[in-house]
Amino acid sequence: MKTDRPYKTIEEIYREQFRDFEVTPDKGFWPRFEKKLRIREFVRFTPGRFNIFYLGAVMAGIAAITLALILSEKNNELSADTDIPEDIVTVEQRGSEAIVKTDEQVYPGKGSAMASARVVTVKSDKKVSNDTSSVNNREEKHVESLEIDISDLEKNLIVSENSILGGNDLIRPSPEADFDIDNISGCVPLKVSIANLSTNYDSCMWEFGDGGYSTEREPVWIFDEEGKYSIKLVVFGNNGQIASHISDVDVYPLPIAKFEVNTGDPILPEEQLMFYNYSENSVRWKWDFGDGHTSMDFEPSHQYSRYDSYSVKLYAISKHGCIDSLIITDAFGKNSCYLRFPNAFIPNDGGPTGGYYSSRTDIESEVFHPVWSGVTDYNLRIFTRTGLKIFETNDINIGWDGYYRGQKVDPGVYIWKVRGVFKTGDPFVQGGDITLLPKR
Amino acid sequence: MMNDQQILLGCKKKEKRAQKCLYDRYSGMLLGICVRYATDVPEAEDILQESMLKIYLNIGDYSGEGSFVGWMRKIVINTSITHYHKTLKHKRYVEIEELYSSEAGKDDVPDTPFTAEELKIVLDQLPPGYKAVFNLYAIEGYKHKEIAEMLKIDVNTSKSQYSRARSFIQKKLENYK
Repeated sequence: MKTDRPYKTIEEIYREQFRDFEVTPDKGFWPRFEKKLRIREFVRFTPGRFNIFYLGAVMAGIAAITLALILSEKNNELSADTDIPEDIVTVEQRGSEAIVKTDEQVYPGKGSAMASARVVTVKSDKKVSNDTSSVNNREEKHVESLEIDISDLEKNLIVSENSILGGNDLIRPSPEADFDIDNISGCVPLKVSIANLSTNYDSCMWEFGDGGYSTEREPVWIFDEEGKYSIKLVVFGNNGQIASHISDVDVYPLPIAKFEVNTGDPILPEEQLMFYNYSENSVRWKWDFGDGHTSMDFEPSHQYSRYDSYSVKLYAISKHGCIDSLIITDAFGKNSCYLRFPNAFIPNDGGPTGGYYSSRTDIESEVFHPVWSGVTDYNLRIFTRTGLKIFETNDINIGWDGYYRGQKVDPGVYIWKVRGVFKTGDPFVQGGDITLLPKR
Repeated sequence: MMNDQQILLGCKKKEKRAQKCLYDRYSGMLLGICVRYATDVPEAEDILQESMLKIYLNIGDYSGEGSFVGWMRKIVINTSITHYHKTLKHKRYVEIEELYSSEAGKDDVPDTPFTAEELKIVLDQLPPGYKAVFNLYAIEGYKHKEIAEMLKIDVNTSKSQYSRARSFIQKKLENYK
């Protein structure tokens, strides 16, 4: 192979050289790399092997236990320190039970009840301390200083009371997800409009099962590929709960309409034409032959009463009722019958060629020939101006090469005459002149 | 010496001997790929290191379908492309038109044997994007559609970059000798 071709493409050159191109890494590469690899291996989580995750878990466990121990110790200390205010609270509660109770009725809810109880206790504390004369001076001072503390506390409590009230008095209903689909099945492309029937939700998330999603309230989705899809709706309630609903959609594949007409060479009126049906995924068919006739057969034959330009249409219908159609316009090519001649040509100097031509070989116009289509019968004759016939052919694939009896004829004007029949059955007769030009 | 199967099993168990064996056998080939995508050798070694880490750590994911070497090549190529994307924003490159305005030349170059080094010198003159497209298309044999996805560029960009890179290389090779 190689010796056959002195030239190679760049791709070949590069591929040959680089397919197995090797560069040896630096000597220090492996130690550096190995270190990195070991670290990464250690960091990577693998069950069944001790690594950093287990290490972390153990550390976290130890930390949690120590923290718990420290906290419980601190709590003990705290409870010892806060003996005094607790005492007072008990005193007040004894003195002002009634007030507390009324307050409780004013503010519903647990948190507020507790808060108001404390507020009241502060007030009543004063009362109690005033009323009870048995308390000595030192104690009174103590209580007064406490009073200031407690009034500060009161403010705090009112603040917290509000926040507790705000958070606690609304019980929000749970969300419910539900929706209706206008088309639960249909042909590709299936457009689906969704009516969202969900209640008590803030936002929603749709998954259409084909990889698509949406956060619109009532999305419209187009499924452009066949298949069974599950549309899933997830709604997020305003109480933090989530609900979901799933509904299925069936998208049917389209059939493919495809056919051919056997346009054997000449098409004659009254001829039985066969239509070949190559449709896929279809169970019923409808043909429209373009002349007012139709057929429901799989592969019908049809006969046209006269030659004309007909457009044949085939509808293919799938078992789900999906429809595809194909039209072949001008199926029998009335417009594709033509015959045209040039008015000049330049024969070659190299001798007779026999006149065979094709549009690819005769780019230099060395042969006199027509451009044509749909010709079945053909006769071309060429005369000199004096009426001498110098060329005749019945084969349309043969043109005149400009030679007569092996000699190149003189440059000048010649007369041609052609007659024949198109495949439609229409005869033709044409004539004209052709100028033979000298080479260069 | 271990065979590929033993290396594979050993590496799955993270045996050091198997890992070293794999490195000894294939690092040359893999670095050979890296240097084609990278701008210089240190960058190529960076890519190799990243790729090898992926290979060793994910060797358990190798399903056994297709060749093991092919699997490693793919990882190296993908890592090279990721690396290219990462470094893209740090670098400024001249578009190839400014280096060389292409003209229609003949398709082939004389079959004077170029060495890999010579070919690589020419390849290295391409901007990294063009180089990646050329590498992927001409040497690795990816389709333009796949290249477009990998490099996150348009298919037509891939095609036009390829043809420009190609004529650039062709011109350079013709002048080389």
